[in-house]
Amino acid sequence: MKDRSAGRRYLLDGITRFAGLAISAALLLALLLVLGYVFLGAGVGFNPGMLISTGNTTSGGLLNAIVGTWLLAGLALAFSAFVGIFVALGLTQYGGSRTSSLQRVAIDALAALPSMVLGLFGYLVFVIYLRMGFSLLAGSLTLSLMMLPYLAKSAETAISNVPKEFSEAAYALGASRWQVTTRVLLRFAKPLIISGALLALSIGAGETAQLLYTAGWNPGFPTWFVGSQVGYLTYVVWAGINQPSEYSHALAFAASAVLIGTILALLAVSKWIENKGAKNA
Amino acid sequence: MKSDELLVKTVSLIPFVFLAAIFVFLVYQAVPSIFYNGLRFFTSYVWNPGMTFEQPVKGPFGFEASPGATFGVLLFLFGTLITSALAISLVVPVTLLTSVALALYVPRPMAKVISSSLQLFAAVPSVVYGLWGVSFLEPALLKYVFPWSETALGFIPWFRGPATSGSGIVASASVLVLMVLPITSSIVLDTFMTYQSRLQAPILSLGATKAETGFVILRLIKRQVIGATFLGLARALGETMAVLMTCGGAINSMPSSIYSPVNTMAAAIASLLDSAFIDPSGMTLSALAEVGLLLMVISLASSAIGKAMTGRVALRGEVL
Repeated sequence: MKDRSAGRRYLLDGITRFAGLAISAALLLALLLVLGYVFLGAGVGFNPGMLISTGNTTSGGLLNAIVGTWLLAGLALAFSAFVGIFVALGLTQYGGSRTSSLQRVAIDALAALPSMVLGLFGYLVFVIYLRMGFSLLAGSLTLSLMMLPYLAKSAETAISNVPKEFSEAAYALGASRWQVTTRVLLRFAKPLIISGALLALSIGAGETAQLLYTAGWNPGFPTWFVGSQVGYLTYVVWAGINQPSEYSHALAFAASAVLIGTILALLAVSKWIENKGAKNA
Repeated sequence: MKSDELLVKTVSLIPFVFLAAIFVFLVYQAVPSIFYNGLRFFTSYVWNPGMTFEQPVKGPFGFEASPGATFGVLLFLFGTLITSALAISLVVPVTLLTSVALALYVPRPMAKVISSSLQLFAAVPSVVYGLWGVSFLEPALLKYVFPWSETALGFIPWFRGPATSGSGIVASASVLVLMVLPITSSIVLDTFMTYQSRLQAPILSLGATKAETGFVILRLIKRQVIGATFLGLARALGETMAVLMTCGGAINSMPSSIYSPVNTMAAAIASLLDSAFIDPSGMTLSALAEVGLLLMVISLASSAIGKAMTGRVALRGEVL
């Protein structure tokens, strides 16, 4: 401790305490300000018809965008869950140490890539070279690149949280590695994998930059995986607020509120499953 | 090798294959621009796809571009760095102060509630921050903050007005603060509390005040704090939508004050990719790929440093 008079030391303590608490309070206020502003803004121009009619960011509603967001994020989740769970198995059950560290580097790097870089890659490869065009498939494949690291990481944690005794008991009964994996490990890891998947879904639902040049926009519903563009909620926010009409702004705010509501609900369910799994374990 | 092992090993190579593919494709796509623009790419701030309706002409090394085309990344690079640096310079003190306050001065259950509320900043999609920035923050900045800063701080060159719009460096940095905060604060608070459980009683028993206890612990976890800062920086560098909507979309003019519009690499790719569609020579797309490559390298470097120092990875505000 430096030699300071007691008065100064207590003053510094008081200042730190005051500044820290004041900033924490200011941040909570900022959070309320962001969420409150969006929900109040959505309340002003909202009419329930927006949720059940399709639209094109200047007129109509959000139904096509809501459906599109679920299609894109859901399909991306399917891709990334499939690969992510296998990656997690490779890391925990089937790993050689050299391939494992290579996989970890790849996953960490994918997680760190800016979404616009992934979007540019998706445009160059899926849209142009593989001739998918702006489509559900191109959009969801691009999204899955971002969601993959999340699923791989959470599945890895979930699998390594299964007590060793469980798999050892199964091996002692003569089960093969694949049987142990599918019937013991994945079964007991399921709640945590699902809660991680819901988190990944919420992240995918809120993404924009990757979809601008891979999914396009559709005032109606996509007709097939390729060759048909697809609308999504974040596009309505981005395009709507840039248009001069009052109604576009109302749609942008409504889309924001639907998005935040969806994301918070997914996060809540994810937390609930996680806690329930922790209680049962 | 058994079939199940083969299956697992093959599928789990996919992330690596994609990472390699992203790098290779960006390099491949950027090659014409790397040769055509050369080093001028990094020293020029002019972005001009040229006369795209005329026949492309051959430039240096025989790569074709529209007549008059010239591409420089300086404005975007500067915008990325200045908005991220400004955001980080605000985020670090805020993170340290809130971590100390929540860990030392607030009852534990309440601290838990507050810190998980602050994590909700990560749940807000980036485009919604953009919407909030455009319709709430920018008018507020222009009406209440800028008039004050012009008169009070106008003697500093970069603070001299007149401010004509709320969008620009300040608005972008402000939304970035809110987006980066969940990453840094969750890592710092988490590490702080781990050390605190062992060290608080011994340090306090030496007669230190709580603030002094906090400073001692912060000094011990310096490495994690710096690492968390780099992870946050990586997030700020790569952020697209919120910055795209609030940066003012500057092109071909370097910012001259904090009120100037600016542009970042990620935002430039998002806003200029349309213009690549109408460039028959493909040079605009190639130049954008070079921007993407540069952005990829910079943000990977930042997050690699963060990962090395904290052992963690941050993904869209969720810390793993």
